[in-house]
Amino acid sequence: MTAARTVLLCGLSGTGKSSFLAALWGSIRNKNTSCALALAELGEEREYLENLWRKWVRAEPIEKSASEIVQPVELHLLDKRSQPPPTLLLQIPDMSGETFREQFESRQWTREFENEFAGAESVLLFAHSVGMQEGTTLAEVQHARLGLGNAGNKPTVGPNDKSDSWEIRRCRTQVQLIDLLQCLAREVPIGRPRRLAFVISAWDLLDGTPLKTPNQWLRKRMGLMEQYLATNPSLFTAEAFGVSAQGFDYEDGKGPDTHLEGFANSAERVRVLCGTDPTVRHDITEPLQWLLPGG
Amino acid sequence: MTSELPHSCGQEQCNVRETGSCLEGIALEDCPHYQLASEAEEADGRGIEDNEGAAEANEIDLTGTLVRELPHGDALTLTEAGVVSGAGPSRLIVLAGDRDCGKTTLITSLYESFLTGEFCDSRFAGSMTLPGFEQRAFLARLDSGVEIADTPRTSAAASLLVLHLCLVTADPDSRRLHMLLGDLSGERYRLSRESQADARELRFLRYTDRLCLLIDGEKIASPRERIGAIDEAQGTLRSLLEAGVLGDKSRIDVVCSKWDLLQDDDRAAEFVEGGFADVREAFENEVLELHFGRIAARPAQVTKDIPHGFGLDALLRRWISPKVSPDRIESPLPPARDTERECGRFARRYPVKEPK
Repeated sequence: MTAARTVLLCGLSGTGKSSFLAALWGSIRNKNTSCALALAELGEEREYLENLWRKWVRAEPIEKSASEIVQPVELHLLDKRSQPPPTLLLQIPDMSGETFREQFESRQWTREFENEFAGAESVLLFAHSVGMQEGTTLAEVQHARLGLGNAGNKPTVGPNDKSDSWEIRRCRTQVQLIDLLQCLAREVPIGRPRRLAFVISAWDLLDGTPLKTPNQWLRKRMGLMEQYLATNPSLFTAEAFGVSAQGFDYEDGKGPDTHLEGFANSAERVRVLCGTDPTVRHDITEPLQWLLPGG
Repeated sequence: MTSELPHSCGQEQCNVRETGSCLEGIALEDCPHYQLASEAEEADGRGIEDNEGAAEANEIDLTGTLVRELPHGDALTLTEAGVVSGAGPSRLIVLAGDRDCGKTTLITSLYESFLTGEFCDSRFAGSMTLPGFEQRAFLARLDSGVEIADTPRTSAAASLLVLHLCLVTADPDSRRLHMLLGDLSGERYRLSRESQADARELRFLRYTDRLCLLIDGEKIASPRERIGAIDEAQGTLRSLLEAGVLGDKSRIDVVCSKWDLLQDDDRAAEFVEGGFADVREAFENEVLELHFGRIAARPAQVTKDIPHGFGLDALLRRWISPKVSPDRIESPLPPARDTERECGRFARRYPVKEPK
């Protein structure tokens, strides 16, 4: 018997959700995949995933345009960790970054979203490893100059548009994410902790920095989020994952051929780290494994 | 509608569930915590027969789509704060002091202290007012475009605005505590010194766990302003005591702000000591507790001796310490009917549920 499980996939725009889905499809679509989760069957409708995969496999940017329709995904999976391997239907109703932004700013969500998605037992929450509104304070910069803090090491990449005017969209990224989790927990409680995989995307951009594990990143870059997850075990059972779905920086000037030449298969290109472990693995299904019962 | 738990209160040590009597000895209908807690519980998963709240949560937007209103995220009104305090152990701390003395900056810096990790052996566990904090903290951010950190001024016309931080303390019991930080324009405190009627307007101070009265360190740094600064602090305390909104159950912190401006000025520092001694002599027998402190919530130039948030840890430790006895003053004024309705609507719409 196939069990159905719904995973809410969410995060702000540009946090790697589509790349993750593309890499996931590319990693599990082949019968001889080395991933712990495999496709039990291809399923009926695959055009969206195939389109994402086509760009990903050639290292072409997945365009973020208004015409890009975010579509729900259904995956019929085989869990190879158990014998006999059970099958399960994984439904991922992708919540676009634009929807996320609108909900946060308007302070309301649609009943359709609430009924179909918000009741999900599991959440895949995405944040970009360097591209975020970190909200570094002037005091942190002063402390760094005095050697009292680490703000001086923070990357300056991110949507830091200079303006004196306050708008709610200027809230720090971690605040926007915590707000979503609080709304889920408050408005649509499920009576037990939701399993949450916190995916830090574009992990390859942290190469050469002191941050070696997802937990280190969470503590240094999103201290408020780290505390929120740790202090609310009755609401969320969380684990942090560092994921490089692209495998390398498309814009580093070397060109895709140079990078792709070194890989023997699709999965090899993917990098995944979990929690406090600095070991790099290549199974992009690890965050999904965590979300499944017994994960 | 009938409630399965007619007696309920979120205040620590209140046994109203068992005894039917209020911890503070006041009539149940006059206690905002009893009343609000019961309303919140009615809305908490027991099925709402009165669908007023549910109807409000389901609204139609301009495109005709059925939507659910989410918590506004800005500072809470006093009645909304009552819903939060009814949900579990809480502390209502109200900041007092004249215009520009640093009340909002203190609240904002306290929030900022948790952004990078635990602070003062406490960890962040949630907030109903995250966008409200962010708005107040925005002009201290590098990406706001400012070169010198600033804090937006609290409107003189606004009623008490309450920012909320839920903290989990590091003590063996890991207590979950709702910190409710009340901010009010300095103008209202000036008016309270000029008129007893205006002082009586601040009757919500009866419900506070602590009043934190700030003395502006920038004024202390100026010889021609410093005497007036101490006198204003004394005048504020006296008018609030004589108006009956503070009394022998009140816990007061008198804090000199902007200490970074005084650290190298021995005469000014001595003056502060003398001012504190005068306040102690004048009021220590009139209130339950009187503490003194020095802070530099957002120093103009941080140093190793005066880092960002200097003095806030001592203040927060006092604020979150377990209460040993009931300390609020009895309220002679039951909440107005419309206020009760507002509380009920807020409680039904945004029940603040404590994780089990």
